[in-house]
Amino acid sequence: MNDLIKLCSKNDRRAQNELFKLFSPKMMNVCLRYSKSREEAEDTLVEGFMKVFDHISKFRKEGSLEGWIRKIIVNTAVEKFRKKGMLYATLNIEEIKEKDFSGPDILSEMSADELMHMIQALPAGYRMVFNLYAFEGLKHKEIAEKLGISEGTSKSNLYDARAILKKEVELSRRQAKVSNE
Amino acid sequence: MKELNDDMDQLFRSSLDAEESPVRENAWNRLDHKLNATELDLYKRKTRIYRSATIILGLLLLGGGSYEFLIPSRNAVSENKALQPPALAERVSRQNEVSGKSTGNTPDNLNNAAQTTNRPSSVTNTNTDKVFEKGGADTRQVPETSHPDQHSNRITSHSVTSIIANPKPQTNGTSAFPLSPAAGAPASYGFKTKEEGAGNGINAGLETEPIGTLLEKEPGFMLPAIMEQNPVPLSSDGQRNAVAASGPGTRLSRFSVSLFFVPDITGRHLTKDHDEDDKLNGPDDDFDQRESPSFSYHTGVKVGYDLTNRWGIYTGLNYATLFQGLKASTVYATSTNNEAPHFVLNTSGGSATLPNVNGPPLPSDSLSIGARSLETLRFIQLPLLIQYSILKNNRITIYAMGGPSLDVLFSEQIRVEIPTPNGAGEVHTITGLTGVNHFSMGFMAGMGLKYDLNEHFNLLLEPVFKCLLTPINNNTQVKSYPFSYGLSFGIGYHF
Repeated sequence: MNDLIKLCSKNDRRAQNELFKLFSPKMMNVCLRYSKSREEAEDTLVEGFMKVFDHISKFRKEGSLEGWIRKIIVNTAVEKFRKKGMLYATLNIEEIKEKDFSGPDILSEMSADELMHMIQALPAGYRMVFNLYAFEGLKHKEIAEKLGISEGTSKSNLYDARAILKKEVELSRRQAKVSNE
Repeated sequence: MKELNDDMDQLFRSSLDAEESPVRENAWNRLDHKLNATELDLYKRKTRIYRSATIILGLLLLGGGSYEFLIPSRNAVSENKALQPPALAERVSRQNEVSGKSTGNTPDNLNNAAQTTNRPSSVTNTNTDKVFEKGGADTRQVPETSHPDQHSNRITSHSVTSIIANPKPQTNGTSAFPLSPAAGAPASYGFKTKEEGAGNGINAGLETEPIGTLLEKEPGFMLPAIMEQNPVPLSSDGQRNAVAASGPGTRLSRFSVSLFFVPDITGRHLTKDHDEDDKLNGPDDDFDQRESPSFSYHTGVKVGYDLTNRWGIYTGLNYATLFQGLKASTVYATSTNNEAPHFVLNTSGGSATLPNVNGPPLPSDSLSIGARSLETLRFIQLPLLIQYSILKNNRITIYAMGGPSLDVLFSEQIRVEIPTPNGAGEVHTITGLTGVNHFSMGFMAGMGLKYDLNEHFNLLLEPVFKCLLTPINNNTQVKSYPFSYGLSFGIGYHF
């Protein structure tokens, strides 16, 4: 891996291609979670890897290369989101009562693709907050700083994102039930 | 509720975080294209920086030269006020009194001697003034008698160039001015003289004698010289003054030779013929995407002949290289005249037939060449340059030059990386490209700074621009006119 990094920092295109092949499927998954569509995710992936190759000589090997690349990809996605402007949809979310939600059990029955589509269907702002909170493990304060929003907005976005996801999950469960019957 | 939320986050995370999503081949192509463009941008940026640096250096040379040229005369004016020849005489007299010796050359005598020539003012002329130098010689300039052929400045008569106050007492002859070395005063004064045809005043034909001795021997000796015209320019350096006094014109030969080395940043201007074939073959910006000119160099020898004091003509022999990186690209097998198909790599500098590493190709088979490919062109250049000295100071000359050159391409090769079935890359060197012109006309121009180390040797610093006026290729998709910016470092010898 060290040799690969060295060659990449020398702009060896073959090594860069190898590194891309090695990490791009996982990073594509990350990009998909932060994007509305596959095309948008691919844009983020390409842009992110440009940055990776640009800065790979600065990789200090203190952590894993995958973690470092992932961080760059996430930052690229956040940057793209910020450039587009804050698109916070004001949704009329129906209250999902706790008793209506079947609980996490149903999630385990859903495929990764279904879950991915649910995240992608979230409004951009909600998607960002949910991803940064649930997947990257950031606190609301950190999310607020990263996205340039208030902590309160971050909390309310997360709340709304979860509400939408629950609703989607419930809907999906009902559809599955109907189709089974 | 919180637990439910946390569980849901956790389940989303565990379901999706370790997942992988397929990436289309197109993504890498886009990335590759962007990386190429970035590299090209980077190169262009470097080119711009280098070009700007060259221009700035040229301007600095011009400005610095002007400054050097103008400042000494300012010094001379101010120092003139500080010490006039009568004051010199007074000081000499005073120091003689202190030392208790009398030479008979009183200030009055000196002044009277000057007055007998009806040119007392020549003694107080700016250019006869004194220059003090830290730890250096105390030099008083007086005009020299020159041959009417001023452009060569050859000395044809016995002439006085300067009066030197030597830090050490003179030992030859009787010191008529036994100046005390105390209080920082020079020990004695003397004449710098040049004999006819002696060349440089420092190294040949220069004699120093105590002023008193000379005046005793020939009281009027100094005066005709003082009456003459053409004062020698002053500088803040007595030693340099002596060089200036001898001047470049005192050299016996007009010939010079120099060796130089020039790191170049290169580029090329591409044009294409607007016929249908070229349109089908693809636009010239394809070459921009696939090729990246890189740093090259040229070196050689330059022989010069001074036509006049300012104009010179130069020629020589240069060895020049032109490197061009070839990025990863796909080439296709083609067949001409019913021959077996073969892979042809087209570049803006000619075409190369690639070896069939993986067996004979079928028509339209493709081959991806690696990114570590390089095209190298080597030239011999015969320039003919005219040089004009814009500014000339004691040791520094700033000049502009320009002229045509004949460029002979004597070697062309492509080192190409061809992938093999096992995934490794084989590097092949292909010589003898098709579609190249072996003779081209070029143009060189630049500015330069020459710094005289001594009578013969000098250092040269020249920002140089070089370009070809005729293309280096023929019968190719595009016509390529390479150019380069370089900073020449050289050492010269004036015979």
